[in-house]
Amino acid sequence: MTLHKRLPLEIFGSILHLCVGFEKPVRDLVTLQLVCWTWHNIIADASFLWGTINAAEGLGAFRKALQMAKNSLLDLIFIERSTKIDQTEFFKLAGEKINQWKSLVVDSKRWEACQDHLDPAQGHLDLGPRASPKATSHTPIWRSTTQHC
Amino acid sequence: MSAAPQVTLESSDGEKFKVDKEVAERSVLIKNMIEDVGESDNPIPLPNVNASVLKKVLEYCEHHRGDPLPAADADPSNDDNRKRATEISDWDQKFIQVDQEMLFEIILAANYMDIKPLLDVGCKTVANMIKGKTPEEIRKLFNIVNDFTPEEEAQIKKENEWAEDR
Repeated sequence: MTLHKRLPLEIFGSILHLCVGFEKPVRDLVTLQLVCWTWHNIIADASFLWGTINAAEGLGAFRKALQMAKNSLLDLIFIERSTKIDQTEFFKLAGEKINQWKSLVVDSKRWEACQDHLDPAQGHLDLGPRASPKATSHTPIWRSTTQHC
Repeated sequence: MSAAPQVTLESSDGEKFKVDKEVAERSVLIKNMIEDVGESDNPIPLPNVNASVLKKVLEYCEHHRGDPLPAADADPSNDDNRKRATEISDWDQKFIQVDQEMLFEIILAANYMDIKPLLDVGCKTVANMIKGKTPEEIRKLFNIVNDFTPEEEAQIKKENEWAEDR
């Protein structure tokens, strides 16, 4: 018996999650979905797998991840030099799901522009350049954030 | 000096293993059982684990007997673990170099016996086998039948055409 028939779904899900990197998370998942129908459907149903979003993957992947992640927590990565997505567009789309943000990594020269599209009333974010790490379950965690303001 | 307290574990196929209590208690399941029933000479039955797997699991527990116990909510797929997905200690790597069937058995036993660090090593090992491979390579590795028709496969690829367009 093979992997997905041998192991409980919860463990199989954990293994799939470990296979999703931070560089190209959506592409990693699409590759895994092409193994067979069972993998395809398990991955499509496991919204938590889609919560890693790296702007470097482009707008199509970004939209797909936001849609597939449903209400799962999001780890967002926006490295300006590695993406063609406009910063304003990224934060406008990501900002719609601000309550699901778990972590945000930003490397951008135009930090102030990120803030215009976020509603602080929803997310209680302190987006100042000295924003300090916060680790409550409903507050995004600031991790390795590089800001060039 | 008195000898370290010991317990006897009994595998699904009836083999008995006498081990130090400290070693057996790497398993949260066994730790709880001992706490519930108190000290006893009766063997602790493990009906879901056969002798060859139990022997392997106990080898792991023996090696890690002094390690700090993990937090109860440690999740093998949490972010830090994901970043370190390829990182398994040298001893653990050698320990887990087993055939696929034994690897799955160890994962199942670690899950049943509630030995989180061992479950973690097992899951990471399988993930490392998968990472970086094409769907065809993954199918070969785990003997999975490709049940997509060529049309279905083409359709899924078409739906994800952006994947080629950054």
